[in-house]
Amino acid sequence: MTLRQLCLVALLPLALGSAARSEETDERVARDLLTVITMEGLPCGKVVSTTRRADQDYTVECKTGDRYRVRIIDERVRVERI
Amino acid sequence: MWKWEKRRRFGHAQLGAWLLVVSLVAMSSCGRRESEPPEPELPAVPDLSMPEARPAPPAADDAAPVPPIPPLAEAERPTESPLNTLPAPDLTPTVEPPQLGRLSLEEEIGEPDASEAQAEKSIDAQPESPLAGSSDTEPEPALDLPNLTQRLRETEALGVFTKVALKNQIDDLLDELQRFHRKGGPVERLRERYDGLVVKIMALVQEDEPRLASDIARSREFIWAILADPHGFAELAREGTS
Repeated sequence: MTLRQLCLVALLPLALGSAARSEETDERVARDLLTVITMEGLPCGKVVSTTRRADQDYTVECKTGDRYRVRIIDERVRVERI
Repeated sequence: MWKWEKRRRFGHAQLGAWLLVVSLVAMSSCGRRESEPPEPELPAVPDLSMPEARPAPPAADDAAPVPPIPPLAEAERPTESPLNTLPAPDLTPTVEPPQLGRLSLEEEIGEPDASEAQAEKSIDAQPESPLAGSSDTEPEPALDLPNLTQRLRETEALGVFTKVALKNQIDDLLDELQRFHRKGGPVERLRERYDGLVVKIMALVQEDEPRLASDIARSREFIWAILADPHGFAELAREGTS
């Protein structure tokens, strides 16, 4: 086994772990955004995709077809339909 | 030769292990039999249905000229035997209804008296108390609002957006309560809002932190008592600002 192969084998678990953590974070953020949208009494069903626009500022696409912008301004959560 | 010796030793060890397992199983079954609670003694059925058929008490043995005990058919015939002088109802109170058969006996007897009914009511009402703790542990003191807020801040069951949204709703409710304490008004609407908010928070943390959810449920009335009391609310506001 060459040195390159050895490095690949060693780094593979790290890469996989990082990908899993990123997926988990995305899932948590999606769940968080869905909770906030539901708390506002707006329809969503399930979050299909999220796009991060800035810090604490997301665009959310729901299964119902609705799209929202969720952000925190002046320590208050704002949910706006796009 | 060495292999054979090793196999023989292994066989012995296996046999020993089997014997140990068998003896453990036997011991555990014996122990279970011993630890089983004894079956409750059932009351003698004839005592309730046919009190006349009971054997005579030992006090009657002193009477020498007692004729032989009449057969059942003759039991109701009036005789001059001292056995018949014993009052028949004395025999029935000796029958104590066992706890297990209480329900069926109550059906026969009728309604329980008032003290029993009250005692049962108090027992039934105990677990429904909102401040009551779990049955196996001592009741813990209810949390206050700052402690609860701190735990909600630190929990990982809620995301950042959810935490901020909840904080906004709590702040809005506190503002309305402040207005209520200044100007007065209907408290029922505020209570409904408070209950709705508590239920919402409980539902959000229930899945990941059931302990926190139960603590919130336990503190529900306690916190409302503070919020509804003008002095308690003022003190809380003072603590919040300091």
